[in-house]
Amino acid sequence: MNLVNSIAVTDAVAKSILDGAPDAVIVVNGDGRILYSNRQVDDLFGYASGALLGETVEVLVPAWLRGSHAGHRRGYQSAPRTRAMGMLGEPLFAARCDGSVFPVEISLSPIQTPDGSLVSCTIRDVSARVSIEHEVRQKDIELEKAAAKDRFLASMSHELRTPLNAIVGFATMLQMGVDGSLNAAQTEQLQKIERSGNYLLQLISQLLDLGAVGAGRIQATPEPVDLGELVDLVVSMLAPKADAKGLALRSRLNCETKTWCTDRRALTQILVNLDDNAIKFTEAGSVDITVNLLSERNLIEQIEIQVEDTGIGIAPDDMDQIFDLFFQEEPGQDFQGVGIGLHLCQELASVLGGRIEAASERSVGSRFSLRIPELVEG
Amino acid sequence: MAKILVIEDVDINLDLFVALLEAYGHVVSSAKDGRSGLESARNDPPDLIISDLMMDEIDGFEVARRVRADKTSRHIPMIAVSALVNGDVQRRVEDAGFDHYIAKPIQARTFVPEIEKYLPTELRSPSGTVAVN
Repeated sequence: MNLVNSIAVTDAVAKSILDGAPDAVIVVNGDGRILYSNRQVDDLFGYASGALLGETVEVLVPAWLRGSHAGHRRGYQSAPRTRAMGMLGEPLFAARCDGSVFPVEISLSPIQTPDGSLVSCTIRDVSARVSIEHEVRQKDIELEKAAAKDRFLASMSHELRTPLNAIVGFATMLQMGVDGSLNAAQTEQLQKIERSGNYLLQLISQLLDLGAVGAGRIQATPEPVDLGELVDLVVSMLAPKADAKGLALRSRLNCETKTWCTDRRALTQILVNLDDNAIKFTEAGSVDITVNLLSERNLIEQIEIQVEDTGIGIAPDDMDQIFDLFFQEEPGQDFQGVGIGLHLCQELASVLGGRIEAASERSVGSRFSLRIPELVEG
Repeated sequence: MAKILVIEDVDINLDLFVALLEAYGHVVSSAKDGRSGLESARNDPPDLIISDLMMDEIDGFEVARRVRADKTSRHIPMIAVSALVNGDVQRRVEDAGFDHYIAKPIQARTFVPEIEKYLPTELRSPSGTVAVN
């Protein structure tokens, strides 16, 4: 094999290797003129085959960088050495034939030839990676924003509860007669302060929960929950309110299953809220809590907890809106809520994998039924 | 009648706790930050400590840890009373060494009977009644 043939073969092989390479490769001379470009260069930059030969390499650089690039190029050529991709730390920019700009990484290697020193440049389009990095950064920013909102809500809650402690606390203490007895009007006024304070507290708690649920940050922590115990607890919490209105607050467990794997806090909150509502909208009669086990064929077993009252009921037209956020049946009523409670209950029910359904008749009463499947203990 | 130490950095809330506890006949000493609370607990050990959580420098969690780490005070029942209600505060309170946690705003009618459960019977107020002035 003579030398000339050997070079010819090597050229053809090299050309085919370069055209098959995943990256764009160009070779430039000492003046920055393009002597060779593989097929990927034409594809990537949008030029006709061979159109780049003889052009200065700056045509591949965005217009605003061309001046500085020529300077960098002369600097490199005065002391050429191999430079790997990504060594500059940040992406470089290249310009297509149509002027559009995209991020690239470039490696450089000097080639010594009898005709002078050339530089081989390998160019890789990193748009996809840069866009993923951008998305990841965006996600980080969103998480940070959510965390900041959490901190804000927690600190607002703390700051609002601190003065409420003194407002409600002293109003109650005065009613307890610690510093002397009060007349009926004074007692009544203090009761109003205390009630308003407690209402404010309820709103603060609901807003905090709403913020957490809305951002998907409430997740069920399933554990075996004794349903009888939980219902008793709810009844004991609300008994004073029911007693004050002369209502019978009763509970019945209609199933053998006493423990159910679910999130204790969310379930308690739903039941307290539903019962509180029932008592609020019932002037005479009763509020009944019933626990049933639903095991129909072909269906997953569910626990159904019903809260049934003999109150004013809900107008048929309002039935499909009662779980909407900020829905109020009769806006402007003192302490009837701003329409967060039921919405929050439904959101919490879905955290438990279930939902709440309502049935009601005006002047007869309402029945709210929560159905939840058993969760797997985590 | 018990000797109760209250650590609370908000004056008006400190006033409330002192007035309420005194109404049941308890003797109250108060501290407005964690450091003086710890000094008081060491120099004049009370029968029970009530502490706020969010305080500058030494917060309530740290107060509980130090009270529990000190031989002279580790047996004293400790109640956290805080407006901090988010997330895992209950667990953090227990981990720090508190016996019980009460959220602010407190329920003035039940507050003292609730904390008295952590006192020996002979130190509780007679049948949990308020001493009217």
